[in-house]
Amino acid sequence: MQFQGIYFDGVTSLGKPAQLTADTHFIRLSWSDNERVVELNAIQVEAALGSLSRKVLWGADDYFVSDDQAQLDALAKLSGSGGMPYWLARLESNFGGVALAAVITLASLVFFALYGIPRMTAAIAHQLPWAVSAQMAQSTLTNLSPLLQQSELTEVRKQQLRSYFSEHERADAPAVDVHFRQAGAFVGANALTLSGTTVVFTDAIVELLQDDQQLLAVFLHELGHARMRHVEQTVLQSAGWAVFLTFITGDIGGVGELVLTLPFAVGQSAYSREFERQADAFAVAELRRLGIDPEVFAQALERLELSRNSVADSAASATEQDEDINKVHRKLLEYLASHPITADRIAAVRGVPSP
Amino acid sequence: MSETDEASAAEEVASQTVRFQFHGDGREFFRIWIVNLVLTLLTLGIYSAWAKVRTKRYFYGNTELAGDRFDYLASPIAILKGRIIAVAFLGIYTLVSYFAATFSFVLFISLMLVMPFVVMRAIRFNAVMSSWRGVRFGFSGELLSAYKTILLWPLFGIVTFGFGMPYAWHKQNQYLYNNYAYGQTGAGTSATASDFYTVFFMVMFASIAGGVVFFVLALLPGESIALLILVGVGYLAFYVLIYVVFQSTYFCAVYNNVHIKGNRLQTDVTIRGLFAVVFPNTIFTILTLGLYYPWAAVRLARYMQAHLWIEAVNLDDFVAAERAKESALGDEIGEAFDLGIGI
Repeated sequence: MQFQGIYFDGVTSLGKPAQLTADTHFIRLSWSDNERVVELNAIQVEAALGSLSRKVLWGADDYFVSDDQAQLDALAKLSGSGGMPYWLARLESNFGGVALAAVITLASLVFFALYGIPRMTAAIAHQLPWAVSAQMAQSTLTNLSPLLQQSELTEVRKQQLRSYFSEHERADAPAVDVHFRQAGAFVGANALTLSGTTVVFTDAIVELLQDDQQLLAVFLHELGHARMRHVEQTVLQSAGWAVFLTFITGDIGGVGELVLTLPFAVGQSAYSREFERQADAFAVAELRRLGIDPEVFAQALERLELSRNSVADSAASATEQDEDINKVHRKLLEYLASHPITADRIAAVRGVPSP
Repeated sequence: MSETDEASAAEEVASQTVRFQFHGDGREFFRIWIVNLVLTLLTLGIYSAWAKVRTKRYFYGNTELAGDRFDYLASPIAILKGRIIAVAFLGIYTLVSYFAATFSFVLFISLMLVMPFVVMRAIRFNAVMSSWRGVRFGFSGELLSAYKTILLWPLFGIVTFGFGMPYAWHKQNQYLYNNYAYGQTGAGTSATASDFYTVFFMVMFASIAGGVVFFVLALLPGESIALLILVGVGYLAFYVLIYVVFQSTYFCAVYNNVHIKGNRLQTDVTIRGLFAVVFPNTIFTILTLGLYYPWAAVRLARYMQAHLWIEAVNLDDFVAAERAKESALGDEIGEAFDLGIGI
């Protein structure tokens, strides 16, 4: 075997054009009127990286460089050079390997987004001390204070609701704190779970749902979120994903992050819909246990949906929205919505078979 | 005085243009990139350090100057260590900011306080791990100056509502290039604050001009799909333009002023030329959900290198002298920096 390259003596930086000849035991380098002989089993041929030229080294200061990839590969085989870099180079140069890498990348991203990270964070969230959840709710309340003003409900009414809720609360964990707040129009009639320890009702929802049993049903839905530590899970998920991404994206480059964040965004919204379903199921089960017809929950959802639509109507002419939503649009909406479409939730509540 | 004038005049005559050249190929880099990506995912991020070294080696190894390629010599283990620390810190910070917002402020301040140290070390790490013709680059910036240039001057930029920021860039540029070295010889920069004010006002002008164009577009009647797409693409072009104006003018401010032992770096990167590369890159990267990225990175590197050169006076002698000094230090430098912080 014989091929051309450049010989560097390790002292001066300028290389000399040289020729490498290999037989079964030795390689011989010859340039101008000089030559150097090295034992074949002492040499190490650098693995390929793209089509960059590669060094032939033998543990001394001098070395030989060539870009004759085919000959270098043959020499590597002859001298027994190998290891991980060779394995990588083979993977990179093989079309099947590259295609497989692309497919596995996509599949593992989807897997991490939909199973890996949610599973891990769920396990951690359930172990989180209640004090941490309380602290978390406190800082959320402080952050939201510009949006949530002091409630205008009477102390009597608040107290009455609090004790009514706590009478019906499962005692398998510390009782949740119920706060009442006056909120802006875009929050509207709503109840929010801040963490495993804290739930907020807006004045608007208390006024909208005059039947206390309906309010209890909403409370039980929020209690489901709280007991299952859904908020903690969501927080841990985005934190976990951010950390995971930082680890990876150092080398992917700015816009490449797009590929990596997309599955998470989709997975996240699918997951939060799953949280809503779980909380609905929890509410229905609790209502049953308490001997209350789950129909009150369905009615509460209907009323909330109605009030939300009327807000939307006044904001824009969105009436035709509901009628125009054909199957495709509906699927898309369902896919992207973080809350399941209420009609489906109501149907699900009503459709839960009685035990 | 007259002697140095004569000497510089003589150098002026003797100087020759030595161009940078980039040989990378999009398809080739795509293969490396996608294999990096999949192994990083399968090893839960551990491989990212190896991926970084491979990517950098590919880009350095394909950059040619005067017939020789650059080299990136960092060990992946050093980068992995730095990365684990950074990720641990990020994890703690993210969690604390959710679960105990007040304490996260303390954490943020302490992050700001260690930042100059981290940046200084990262610059030094990258410099020392880069080499050309067997001679490593170096960085001798000190910690106190790092605090001034990375913390205090940008702060000054902020309290002056941005008008002091070009001065902060100027200070940062001085910190970087007056402390940069090739082998044992220090580089220097002759950039002035006015170079960076040019960057600032160019960006401002582009923003205002773009704003006016959009105002006019918004007045156009009609709501056809074609018009909507046109406006969407227009918005994108506008953002890319601002980015490009900043990048190209900043690049010129920096690289038309760096010199080392009489050899002067020069560039003729233009706004138009850079836009013609970055805008299609952005469009294709979005349309392919990021898969075009390797081609985009290669095209950008090719454009930048093609418009960068050295007005060289004694490049070969100077380099050979550095090479002789270097061999005494050898690989010890590499081992002294066992913590790589990739920026």
